[in-house]
Amino acid sequence: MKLSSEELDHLAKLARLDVPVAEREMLQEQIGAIIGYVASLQQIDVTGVDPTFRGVELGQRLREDKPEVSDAETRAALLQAAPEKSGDYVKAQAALQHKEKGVAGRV
Amino acid sequence: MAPMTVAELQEALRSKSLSAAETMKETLACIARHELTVHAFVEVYDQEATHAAEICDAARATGGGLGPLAGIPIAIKDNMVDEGHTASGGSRMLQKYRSVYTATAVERLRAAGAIIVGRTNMDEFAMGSSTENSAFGVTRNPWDTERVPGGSSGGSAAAVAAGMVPAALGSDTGGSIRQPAALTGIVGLKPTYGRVSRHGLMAMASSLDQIGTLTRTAEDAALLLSIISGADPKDATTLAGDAFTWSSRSSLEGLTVGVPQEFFAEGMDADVEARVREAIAAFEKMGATVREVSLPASSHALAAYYVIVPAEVSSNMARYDGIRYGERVRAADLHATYAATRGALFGPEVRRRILVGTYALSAGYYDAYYRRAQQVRTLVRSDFDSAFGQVDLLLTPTSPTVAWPLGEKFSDPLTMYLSDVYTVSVNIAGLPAVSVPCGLAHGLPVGLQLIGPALSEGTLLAAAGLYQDNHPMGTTEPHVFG
Repeated sequence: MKLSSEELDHLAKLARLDVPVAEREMLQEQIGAIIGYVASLQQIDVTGVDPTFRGVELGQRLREDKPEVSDAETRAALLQAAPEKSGDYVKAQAALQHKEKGVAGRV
Repeated sequence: MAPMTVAELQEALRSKSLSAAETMKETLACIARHELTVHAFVEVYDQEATHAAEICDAARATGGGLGPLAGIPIAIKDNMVDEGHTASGGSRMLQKYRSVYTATAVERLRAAGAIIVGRTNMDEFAMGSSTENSAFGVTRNPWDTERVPGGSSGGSAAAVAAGMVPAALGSDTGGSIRQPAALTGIVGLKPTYGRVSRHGLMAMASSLDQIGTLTRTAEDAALLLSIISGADPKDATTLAGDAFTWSSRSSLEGLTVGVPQEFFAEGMDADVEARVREAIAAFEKMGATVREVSLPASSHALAAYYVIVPAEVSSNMARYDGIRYGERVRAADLHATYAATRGALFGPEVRRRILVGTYALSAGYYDAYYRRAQQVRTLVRSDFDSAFGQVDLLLTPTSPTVAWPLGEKFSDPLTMYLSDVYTVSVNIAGLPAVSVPCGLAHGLPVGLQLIGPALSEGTLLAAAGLYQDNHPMGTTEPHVFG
């Protein structure tokens, strides 16, 4: 069961993933086939069966709410990993549009 | 001469019949000799490893307290972080990423004196069964370089099989240690979920991922497991309790072995089945009682696996957005940059799984796919629970076929997925399993899988070790040595 073009667009949008035009057809086929295969799960009787979500059930384990001391070196290494930086900050892009002059655009 | 095992090297280094520097020189020479044909490594740390070996020898000369793995060369899969080194997970996304901390398992190896010689090739973020999905080229099987080594820990498996290193770490989410071990004729151990810390392992499917070992013998797997296992405050899913211990056995008297009938269904190569049946008979000869058991839900395990994994993948891959690390492909605004970065830098299998996972988790499909897969997971677990009420361990094939030609399954993801049919249920149930070589079919290695209840690695490795002692695989030398 091939995935429709609209379905692929919807999934790609949810996943924040650009799909190259040349691969669309193939992906619609392949994802459709994979979903068709796993759809066999619908035929299994799971009435009254609790789901298992974890690899191991150990209950909630929390560490003490205490900040770990880090050093300037670690901080520098973490910053070093970012593709764009501005001083001591990781540089992103504006999450809100600047279409009109308004509060969103002001710093 | 066959390459030395970890245990043999340990002895040679302790008795000073071999120095760490000589060992490392030989290791690096062997890597240089075979790497062009096999391509097991993404990076080899020549200078650092040579230097570490010299330091090890100096410490031994002054009688310094050396760890149990002092001077032993070990390779790690490219999805474990190691401070100061690049860790790329086989992905263009992290091609230049340098680790800022070290994975617990790697740290424990180093603390025991092991020398990390390099990082091995793998399918991108461990998604694949052939090591063809790497951004850094394919790894070839040392037994036949026109064939795949299996995957996703194919680089680690090929490095051990080709005699480059005596041991390597891998990770196993649905067979990624056991299947390449089977296809390259070595021993692959996937420990109980929670036995080895996942801290510093790049997450693929967090509820299934587990670090384990690729070695030439079961004894070596036990040696390494005793070092890398144990609770870790940095991984809340690690199991507390007694440390792993192991002792070899001289007979399997008193051991009951189950053969799950569902694992001998259609789709298996007849010669592979013959080798596995012979191995089961050998277990009987060594004193084990063999009986047939049934794991009815296991036939649904693969479908459940290919819902659970993509679902967890789609969440775990969200961190690769081009902002904090990795590369960035800049577009008009933030959301467009996310999509452009991920679209350009993830390979096809990663993109496929993200999209399938997004589907399984999206509104309207959650109950039908994700929740249902987790219910099937419960059924798979209960099957194993009842089987282990009757038997001590299970014997199955590791893979339905021997290593296949490069490219054969590459463009057909579903066929590739089917190669995991005998390994995934173990991860779904969180159990330990080991693949041990049990002969050749079509001139290529076949793997026998031993599955046990949680924390039964000691029993599994003792049984696998006795089998190896009594049934050396015959022509165990891959062609690369010829």
